[in-house]
Formats: sequence, structure tokens, C-alpha cells
Amino acid sequence: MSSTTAAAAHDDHHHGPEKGLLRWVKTTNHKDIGTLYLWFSFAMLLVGGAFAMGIRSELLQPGLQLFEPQFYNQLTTMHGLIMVFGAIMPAFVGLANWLIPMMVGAPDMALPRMNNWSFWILPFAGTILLSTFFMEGGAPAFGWTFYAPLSTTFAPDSTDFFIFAIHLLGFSSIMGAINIIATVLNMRAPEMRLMDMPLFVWTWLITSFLLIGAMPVLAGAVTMMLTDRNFGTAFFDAAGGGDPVMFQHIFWFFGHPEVYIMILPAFGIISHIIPTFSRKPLFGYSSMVYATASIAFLSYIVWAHHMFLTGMPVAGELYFMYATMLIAVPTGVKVFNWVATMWKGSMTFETPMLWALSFVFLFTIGGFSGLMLGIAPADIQYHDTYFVVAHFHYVLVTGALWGIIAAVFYWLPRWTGRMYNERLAKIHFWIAMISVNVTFFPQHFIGLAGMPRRIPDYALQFADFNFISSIGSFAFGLSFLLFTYIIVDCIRNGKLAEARPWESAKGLEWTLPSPAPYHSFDEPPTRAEILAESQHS
Amino acid sequence: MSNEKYYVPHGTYWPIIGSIGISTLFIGFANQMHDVSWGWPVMVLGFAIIAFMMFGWLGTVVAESVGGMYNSQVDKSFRWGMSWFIFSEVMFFAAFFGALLYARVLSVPWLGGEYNNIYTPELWEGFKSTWPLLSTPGEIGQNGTTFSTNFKLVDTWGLPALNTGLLLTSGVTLTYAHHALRAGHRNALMAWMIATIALGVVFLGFQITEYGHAYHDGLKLTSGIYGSTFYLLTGFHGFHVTIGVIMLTVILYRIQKGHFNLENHFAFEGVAWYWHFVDVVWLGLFIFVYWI
Amino acid sequence: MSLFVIVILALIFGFLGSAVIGLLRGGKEGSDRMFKALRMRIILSVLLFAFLLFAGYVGWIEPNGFNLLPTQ
Repeated sequence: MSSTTAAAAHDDHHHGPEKGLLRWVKTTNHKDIGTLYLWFSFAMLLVGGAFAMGIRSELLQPGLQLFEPQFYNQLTTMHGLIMVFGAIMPAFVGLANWLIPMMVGAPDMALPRMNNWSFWILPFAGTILLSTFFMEGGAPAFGWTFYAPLSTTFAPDSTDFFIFAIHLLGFSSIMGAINIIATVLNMRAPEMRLMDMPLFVWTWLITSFLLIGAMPVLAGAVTMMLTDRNFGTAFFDAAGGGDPVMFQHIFWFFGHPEVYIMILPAFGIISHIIPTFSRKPLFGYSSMVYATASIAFLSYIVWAHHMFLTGMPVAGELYFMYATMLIAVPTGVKVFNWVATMWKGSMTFETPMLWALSFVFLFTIGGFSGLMLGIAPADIQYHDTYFVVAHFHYVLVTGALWGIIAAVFYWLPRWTGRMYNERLAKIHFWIAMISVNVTFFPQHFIGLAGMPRRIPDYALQFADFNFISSIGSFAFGLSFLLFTYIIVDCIRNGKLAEARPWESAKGLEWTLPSPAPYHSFDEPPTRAEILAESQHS
Repeated sequence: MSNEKYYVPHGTYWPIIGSIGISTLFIGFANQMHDVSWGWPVMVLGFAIIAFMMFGWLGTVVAESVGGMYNSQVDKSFRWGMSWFIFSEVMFFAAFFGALLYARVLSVPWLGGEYNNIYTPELWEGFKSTWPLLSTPGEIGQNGTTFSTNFKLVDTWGLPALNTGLLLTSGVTLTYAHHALRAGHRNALMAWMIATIALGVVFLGFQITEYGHAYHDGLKLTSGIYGSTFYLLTGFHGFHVTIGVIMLTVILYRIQKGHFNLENHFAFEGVAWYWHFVDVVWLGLFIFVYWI
Repeated sequence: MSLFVIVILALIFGFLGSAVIGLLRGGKEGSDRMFKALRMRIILSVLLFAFLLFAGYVGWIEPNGFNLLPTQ
């Protein structure tokens, strides 16, 4: 590798993976890297889930049960950080790695070495982040939003390690996004026009722009935090002429695009699954593309709706409220299109479809509670209560995570060449679907009744709903053991799957033999093949 | 294009080396800030590993490029990659410019009691909102910092103006170098490149001198929001100029090796753009920090 | 006056952006576009710098430097 002659000596293609563990360290193959991403994110999902179990155990009954309040805060903080940066985002990048080259008819990702790096930063960042638990003063305990001055003045020393972990995660995301843009725009089959691209590719392309626009701003925010903590600057310190509210502005300028980063690819996934199992082409393909782009644009200009209670000028509150309401329009277009796709379709309910359907329903609930929160005067009541917690878990768990799980079941036969156990998968779906609602739906009520978030204890009148919520969360947590079993069972003993296991699935990825070959398309697909597999014909 | 294969390298150790290097650097840095004795050496080790990785990785890419293994599509991938990397840099600087503007336009006037903040003067007795902010509202910060106030500002007509002139001149010389490259005048190209690099180095020297003066006159990182924005903006800019000088030097070396021709000089274009970007960021700094 | 300066600065950024598009396109055409855009941006920058110095000298604009501020 260090000399050109060695690299030039062997043919670029037509050979399989290396043997042994080093394969995974050295790999430049998009499928290998996608697999690494997916397993890493699954491990992080279990770690973050374990933290959530701890949180819900503490909240099972009023009064302090298991943890010191400080440790409880560490759990909520790390749960949020690990889930957002360790589980959801890498899972989507993993899906992109596996699927995008196959969907656009490319041999591999555009920048394969950098692709390897954007994965191999993650384990280091995750280790640094988790190691803060074992440091003096414990892990960061200021919530995943790390508001100043909680994160500057009142935080443990380990916060500096947290800051560097965020830097590393940011590098990884930016490199991953650059790679996806280069792949989609440059590696696409020459005969594939932009408006022929499948929606997962479209949504990821737009997500990449969000990532490259937002992650550097987060890097700036944590850098300012670092210098405020260690070098005496006063960015977030009013005594020095700075402003702690400025932290919130910078953070949410990153944070709001971030939440769309976590949901747009899921929109793409759902737009693949619903047409397949409705046996109809996607309704309103181009309006889906434009709606995604509008959501992405709007996401940059609504950040301060997270900050209605910071004492912004009223004109500012009004602007951010109305701009936020606008997002409901393109999102409504999407939900309408999914429903219209199913209209008079010949529907069947295999596992991916079940997840997709419940996504549409439950994500819409999360969207509506988001609208409620976006109303500035009403937000005075809702702000920082469990209503917010219920809202973002409906969009992140039953939105983003549901999309990922739906994608895993939908494309698992494509990746492994084997079929999962449909019966078990359906049982798993129903357990997860019911328990997630038992967990999060009551949180709407306790939130409206005024229970604050991020507090380990609560008043007695919230006891019943919290008990229900905790029981639901334990069931939900356990359901992931079944999920693990289904996946491992599929990989080891699953029945061999056909190249196109879903009868009316469309997309270039299904035209490859099963299991998917190590290198995707050696020859780009022709115009006829692309049209036959496009979503809008 | 379809009969040319896209070059997909097989296996590489550079990314994992890079990850180890960057983690080592950060762990060393964090420990250094916590006054751990081995912080510095570990940081230096991290730098060394990163330098080794950059040298090896980019060396491999250059060798592959010169070896003719890249077709026009690979070239295009690099162009896309560079363009969006640059955009991420723009957004990084935007965060700090945003902080500067927010402080100037909103938070400092609000601290002085403007808009609906009539009670703020009760909190910070005697505080007057001015820009540049020569005296901070409080004397001691939340983290226990004693603010270094009543500093002397840097003389706009002195080193800052001179440095702006220097950096803009380097932009001019680089444009001449670019022209010479496109016209195939190798010696002129080398001469203009050397001039550009020299101007960049002199700029960095003056910048260090200016920091010395400012620090001596009491303008420090601890001088409240003015010192914070001043040092972080100019500091990150200086960091980027340093990277730019290193990249220009590498390009000069590659010119000398004859790696570029009239059609194919993407590396030069990428680095040239980077230098122009750093130049414009400075112009923005000069205007917003020193003038308006 | 400061608005004028900001507009010119925005224009300079525009040329910088145009140069990236040239960089992206590649080939003879992109290379031409990039070179011309960068040349325009350096010309504008030098003119803006000269204007700033002149405006500061004749007093249209007051720099943030200490020498022109009233003594504390």
C-alpha cells in the first residue's frame, strides 16, 4: 500500500475480502464499512438503552430509589449523547454506506479511504465519551444540550474529554457527509438523472448538506466552551460581556438541523417500504423531493423555538413561532403522500411494512406535539416538562429508530442473503410497538400536569403514570434482546433469500445477485434498467 | 468512461493511524489543561502521529495520482470533497463571526440596559455598553477568572493594516502564480509561489509580534468578550494560515518535481482556493474587528 | 458607509463561491472560471482595502483602534 507499484500490480476489482480481523481495520469497501457502522450503532443503542433502563428504574417510584441525583443527571446526559451521536446518526450513515452505492449503480463510495476514517474515528470518540464515567467527578451531568453555564462553570473536569469526543464525532459526520455527496453526485450511473434517484438517496443527499452546515457550528460551540472553561474567555459569561443565551443560539443553530439530520433519512426509508408493500408506485415522487428540500431549508431558520423562555424579544418569538409552523406544510405533504400511496393499494403486512405503518402514525403524533410546543405562548406551560420528553421520543424513537429498524428488516435479505424469521419478527414488532406507547404516551399527561424533566424525584401525583411508563420501558428494553436474537438467527440459520425477496420491490439494489457481491456495479446500469427500477414510473 | 475502472484502493492503515493520532493529541491536551505532567509529551506524540499519517496518506495519494491510476471521475470526487470541506470551514468561522456579531449587536447593548433590560444596570453597577468593550460588567468571571480590563486596543493603522497589506499582496502573487501555471511559465510560477509563501511566513511573524504587543498592553484572552472574540478569530485564522503555508510549500515541492501540467493541476487549484479563502477571512476580520 | 463595505465584502465572498463552482466543474472551462473569479476577488479586495485606508484617513469611517478613540 505504501508503494504505488504494489497497488498498481493488482486489479481494482474482482476479488473478495481479506481474511481475519485486519480486514475490518483496513477495509475500504462500502459494504464492510456499512456493516461496521451498523454494528457499532447497535452496540451504542444497547449502551444508551441500558442508561435509559437506569433512568426509568429510578423513576419507577417517587423519592430517591437507586441513584444519587448527580449520577442520575449523568445517566440522562449520556443517554441522550450516546443515542444521538452514537446510535441514530451512525446507523443512518451505515445504511447509507450499504445502500447508496447500490442504489445509484456505483462500484463503491467515492472516497473509500476517507470512508474508512469516518468510521474508525467513532470507536475512539465513543470510548473517550464513555470513559468520562470513570473520571473524578463523574461524567458530564448537564443534559445532552450542555447549556452554559452548567457546562462551563458547574461541570466536572471530564467535560473537557466530552468536548473532544464531540469534536471527533463531528469530524466523522462531516467526512461521512462529504463522501455521500461525492458519491451521489459523481458516482451515479451516467444514465441516472437526479429526478430518477430513489428517495433514500435524495433524503441522504439533503441530510449531508445539513450535516456539513451544522456540525462545524457545533465544533465552534464546544471550542468556545473549552476556552471558557480553561483559558478564561467570556463567550458565555455575562460578567465578561458575553451571554449564556448566546450558547443556546449557537447550539440550536446546530441542534435544529441536527434533529432533521436524524429524521430525513428515515423519511426516505419509509418512502421505499410503503410503495413496495402497497404494490403501487410512490405517490407524488417529485413533491417528496421538494418537501424534503423545504424541510431542510426551514430547519436552518427556526432554531430559537427551543428558547422561547430565554427572554427573547417578542418580535423574535413571533418570527420563530411562525417559521416553525411552516415546517408542518412540507411534513404534511409527506404524510399525505404516504397515505395516498397506500390508497387502493394491494397491501400486505410483512414486518418492514408494520414498522413503516406505525412510523407514519406515531411520527405524526410526535409531529403534532411538536406543533403544540412551537406555539410560543403555550410553550410557557410545556417548556422543560415531560411533554417535551414525550414529544422528542415520539419523533426520535418511533420516528428515527423506527425508520432504522424498518430498513434493517427490509434490506436484511439484501445484506445477508438470508431471510429473517417472519413470525418472531412480527411478535417483536408488536411487543415494541405496544411497549413504546406505554412508555411514552403517559409522559404527555405528566408533562402537561407539570412534571419537570431531568429531575430524579417527583411529586406524588405523578406516581401512577411514572410507574406505567417505567413498566412499558422495561418491556421495550427487553424487546431488543428478541431483536438481537432475530438478527443473529437470520445471519446464521436464515433461509436463503431470493435476489428480490419482496415481490414488488423496486430499486437497483435488488437487481444484484443474492447475497450482494463484494463490489457492487462493475458496469453502470443502463437507462432502461434505471427507468424500470425508478420510484416514479 | 465506463471502460475506465474507478480506482478503489484495497485496504489502508492510514485512517486508523490518524484516529490514534488525533485521540492521543486530544487526550494529551485535556490532561495538560488539568495540569497532568504527561499532558505535553502525549500531545506532542499525537501531533507526530498525525504528521506521520498526513505525510504517508497524502504521499500515497500523490504517488497514485502521478502513477496515472486516477481517471477523470476520481479527480471529480476529489473536487467535490474539497469543495464541501471548504464549506465546512466557512461554517466553522461563521460560528465565531456569529458570536462576535451577537455580542456587539445584542448581548453587550442588552447588558448596558437596552431594549427591555432596565434592571440589568442594577446588576452591573456603573457598566456602560461600548464597543470595543474596554471594561467588563463584572471584575471576576463565573469560572473565577479575573478579567484583564482597561487594556489598550491594537492600533488599526499599525500592524493590522500592514498585515492586511501583506496578506492581500500574497493573494496577488498567488494569482500571478496561477496565471503562470496556466500559461506554462514554470520559472515564473516557482518565483511567484516562493513570494507567496514568504509573504505568508512574514504575516505569521507579524501576527505573533502583534499578539506580543497586545498581550503586553493588557489585551488577553481574559479581557472579556472583546479579548475572547479577538483571540479566537485571529487565532483560528492564524492556524489556517499556517496550514496554508504548509500546503503551499508542498505544492511548491510538487511543482519542482513536475507533477502538474496545463490541464491537470487540481491540487494547486484546491490549495490556491484555500489560500484565497484564508485571505478573505482575514479581510472580514480586519473589517469587523478593527473597523466597523 | 459600513453598509457599503459589507456589500463589497459580500461580493468578494460571491466571487470566492463562484471560484468553488469552477473548481468543482474542472476541465478547461472550470479552470478558466475559477481563475477569473479569483482574480476578480483579489482585485476587489485590494480596492476595498485601499478604500478603507482612505476612508479612515479622511474620517468617513472610524476604526476601532485606540488612537482615534477619545481618551478614557
